[in-house]
Amino acid sequence: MSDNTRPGNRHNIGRVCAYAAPVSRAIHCLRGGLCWVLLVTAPMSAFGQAVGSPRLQKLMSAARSNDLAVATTAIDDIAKTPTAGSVVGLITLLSEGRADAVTERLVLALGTTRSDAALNALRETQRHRVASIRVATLSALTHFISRPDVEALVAQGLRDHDATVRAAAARALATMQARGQVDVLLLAFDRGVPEAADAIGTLASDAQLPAFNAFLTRKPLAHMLNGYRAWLVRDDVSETTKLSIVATLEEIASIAIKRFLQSVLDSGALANEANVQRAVATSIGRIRETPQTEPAP
Amino acid sequence: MTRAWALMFGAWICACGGASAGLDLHFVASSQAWSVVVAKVESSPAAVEREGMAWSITAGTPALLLAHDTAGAERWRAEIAADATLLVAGTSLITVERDTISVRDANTGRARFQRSLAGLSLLGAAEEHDTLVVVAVTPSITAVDPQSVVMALHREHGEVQWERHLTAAIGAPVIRANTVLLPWNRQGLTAIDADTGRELARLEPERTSIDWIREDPSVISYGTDRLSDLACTQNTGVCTSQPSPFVQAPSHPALHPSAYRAPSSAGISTQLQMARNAEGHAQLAQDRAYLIFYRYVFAYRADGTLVWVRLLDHDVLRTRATQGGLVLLDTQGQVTWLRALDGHRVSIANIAHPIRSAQLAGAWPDAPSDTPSNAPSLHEGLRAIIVDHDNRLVVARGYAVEQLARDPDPVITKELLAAYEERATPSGLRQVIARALIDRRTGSEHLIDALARHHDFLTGVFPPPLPVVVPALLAMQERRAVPALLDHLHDPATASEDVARIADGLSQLGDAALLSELLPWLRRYRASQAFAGDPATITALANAVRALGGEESVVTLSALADANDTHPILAAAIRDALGNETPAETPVEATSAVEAPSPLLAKKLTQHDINAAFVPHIEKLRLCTFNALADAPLLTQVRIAFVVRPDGSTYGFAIAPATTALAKCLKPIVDAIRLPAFDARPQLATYVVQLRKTAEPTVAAAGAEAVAEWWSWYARGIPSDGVAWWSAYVEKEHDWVPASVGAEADTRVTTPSPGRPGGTPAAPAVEPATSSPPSAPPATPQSPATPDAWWLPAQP
Repeated sequence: MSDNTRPGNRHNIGRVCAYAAPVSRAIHCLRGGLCWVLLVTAPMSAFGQAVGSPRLQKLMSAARSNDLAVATTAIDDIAKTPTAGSVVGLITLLSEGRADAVTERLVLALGTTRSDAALNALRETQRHRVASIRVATLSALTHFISRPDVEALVAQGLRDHDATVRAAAARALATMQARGQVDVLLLAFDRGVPEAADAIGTLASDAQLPAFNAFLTRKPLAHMLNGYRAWLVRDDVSETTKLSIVATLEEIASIAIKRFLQSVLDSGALANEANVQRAVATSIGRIRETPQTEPAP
Repeated sequence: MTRAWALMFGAWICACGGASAGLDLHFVASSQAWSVVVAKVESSPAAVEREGMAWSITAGTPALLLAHDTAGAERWRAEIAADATLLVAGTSLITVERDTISVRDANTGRARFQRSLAGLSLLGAAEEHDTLVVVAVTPSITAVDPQSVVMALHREHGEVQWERHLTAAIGAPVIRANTVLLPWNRQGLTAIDADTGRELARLEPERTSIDWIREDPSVISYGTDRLSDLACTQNTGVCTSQPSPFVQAPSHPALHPSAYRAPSSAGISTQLQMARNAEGHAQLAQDRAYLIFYRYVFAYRADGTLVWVRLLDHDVLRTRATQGGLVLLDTQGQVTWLRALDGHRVSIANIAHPIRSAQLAGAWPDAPSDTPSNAPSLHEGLRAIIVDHDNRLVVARGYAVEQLARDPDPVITKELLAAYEERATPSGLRQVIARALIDRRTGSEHLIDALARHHDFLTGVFPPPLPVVVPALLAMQERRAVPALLDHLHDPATASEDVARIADGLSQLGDAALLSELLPWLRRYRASQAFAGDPATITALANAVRALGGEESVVTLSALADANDTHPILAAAIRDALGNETPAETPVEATSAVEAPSPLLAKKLTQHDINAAFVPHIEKLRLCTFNALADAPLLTQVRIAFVVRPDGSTYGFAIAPATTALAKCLKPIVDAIRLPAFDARPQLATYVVQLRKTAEPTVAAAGAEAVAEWWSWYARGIPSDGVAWWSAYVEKEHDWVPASVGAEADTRVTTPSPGRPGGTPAAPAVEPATSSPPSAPPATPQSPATPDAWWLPAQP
């Protein structure tokens, strides 16, 4: 985690608080926490002064509507112009407490701003009690690409008690191309996060293939195949590794493997890799369609 | 002799009784004949105790009867029926197969004789010289008209010397000095001449009954839940009796097995040996009495103090107390000796067969007393039992928890918490540990340390059990726990009910500074649908804010409740925390939409109004909840929520648990309800049918509201957690007349319930309750008998 996103970082607090007018009151309550936390302690009406333009105030008013469509449209409009004021506005709306659907929209909108202030707010919503909002938070965090600290934050989602959040975290890491998180994804897959297989296949290096192969007899084949598919269709994986995957799968030689290889072949993802394509086709030919041992009549 | 005189006189002449102080006294109605008998018995030296031996019937087919000496050497063996039982009396080994007894020489296995008991079952036997006295009774101890026989047989060839057939209950006898001492009808002892069967005298204690009589080498004692020295009854006067050391022991075992029941071979039993001290007083040998609880052995002092415990490998089948300890034979044929002093264990012999039934008799040698002890400390022994995985023995493990929890050592708190969190710990034991933890006042640092744990799916770490830790910290008033509790408040893995518990804890342990954490929390979730099904959490947070925030919090909370996008159920939940309080200065946005109140209508409905509206529908409600209970016996409450329009009509019906059947049943009731009109915006109303005891009653303790929810009143009175109210009610039917409630309390559920053995779920009938006091126990049936029968109570 880098310094500028660590909770309680004074520099960061100052930056966020600069967006907000009622700072004096907020700082008075400060106990070492985030400014975002402080903002929510101020009266709701005070935030109107912080968000600048009449247009923004009008949008915020609409975002407070009980009509979900009106509210979400207004939130999207606020996010379209990611100024400091609009970020504060979104944070303000979030801090006031909204219906869950609106909160999800606010979280997603904050992600699109890619601001540090938004990131701090998302750190808080990653601990929201509603799982769908934590899922939305992980989705929002994918906008912060090439940020190892954010990748680590997203990887925390793999530890969540809710399976949907863990799945979202795995997907988010794959989306973010968080190659530094493969080890924790392997652990997550081992512990029972099936979506981690896909992310591992997307992110892992050639050298990490044996670690994934080690799950082959312990994990459901369908989960493993998701990982292998992601591996096989990548451009940044060596031919040797792909041939190794095909050989490994051929050893299992089940109908499911045959169909999987056929689907990979049919997808055209191997069009530029003749050797791999040939190996896949050969394997498909070798795997018998019917079970090896027929039951006795 | 008047009784008062006898009491004074007895104090002088009766130098009997145990050494324990503060024992009860009971008056013994003695007679000269009885004194003569006791003098004869007590002056007669006890027969030299036979050599110690173990007789066992192996498990499996064919079953073998094996005899081993104290060194573990096999003396003899014989084939025997697999369902046979054993009894030892002196030199005779009696095996019972159905109603036939076979008597062998216990030392050699030589068959002596067989005899039919004519449908009766052997209860006990005693042997002296050539006489074997046998007592047999009707098999069922609950027989209304008990048939018994006591007979004296020649021990070698079984010739009947005399016999008496009785229509009365008699118990296992003791024989000494040619006198058979026989308990009968639980009313007294009779002394019978062993040669003729003629009654010599009888003892009839006035303030106690006699459930057993036992013989130790130097003491003959009798009693029920107290132990009395037979020698004391030699003189007219007052004798002391010793209380059972097992009063606080698990399962409340009897001080001694009843003489009126055939001895059981396994499970829970007690063992002790009486001896005379230098002053001639009868007392426990080595001041030890033992409770054997399957695989556990608990050793007590005479005053009931637990001294040591041992966890054994296998269930104990048979035990025998010695002067210096306790000999045990377990189901795997291991013979073990435990030292009385400290539980030091010595393996004596291995029969090398799984054993189904066994007997130990005679003098078993004590192991050397100066051997260094291999026994665990009491603390270690209790801990071993607590974490033992034998879930048959939860009662004893719970007892071990209670004993361990008496130790104020802070580390005990840590150990109890670890035992609670052990996955294999059964729920019954968890409840005991939870109570023990909440009652502790030391070791809070370990609870705070435990709070540092948060759920982590990858590492498999789980948070500590907050339902236990939070109340325990609250009981300790441990303010250092506040930061850790806040962390759990913000942890999404914390269960909603635990959030409420934490909020309550923070309101008691924290101060106004916590508002900067609690208010944002409340604000964040005030509009969340996720809490609509569990508004109690929001109420708990609002309560905490109210408690810590003083008068100013009323304004803040009112603003939150009145905000137009606050979820209506949660707005009501916040208002619940405010009660009747209204902000001194209502925010403009909160009042702008509110019309001027009508002077004729109430501003809002009270819970009393809501409860009152349900009163005419109680019967239907009860039927609905009973049907729900049939489907979900562990259901704790049914919560009905709906919105009331200002005209008193309802809409927005919701229930928890949200089952289709329950909704179908309850919705017409709610639809039919008409509440008083009021002058405000639509209001959320909730009505809770509480089916179980809760830590904090959800209904006011007294007054009209409590009366309206009459079943809630019952639920709060449940004596133990987890017991459905109807069960508790049925058990205590006559004790539950509510003194503080009025006419509504005169309706009672009288039909037993689903879940009872043999019962079927059925809607209970409601009928007028009777307020009569508990009925007297039924009188003991008196058997008609001839006036001179010695088993009848003596006439005054």
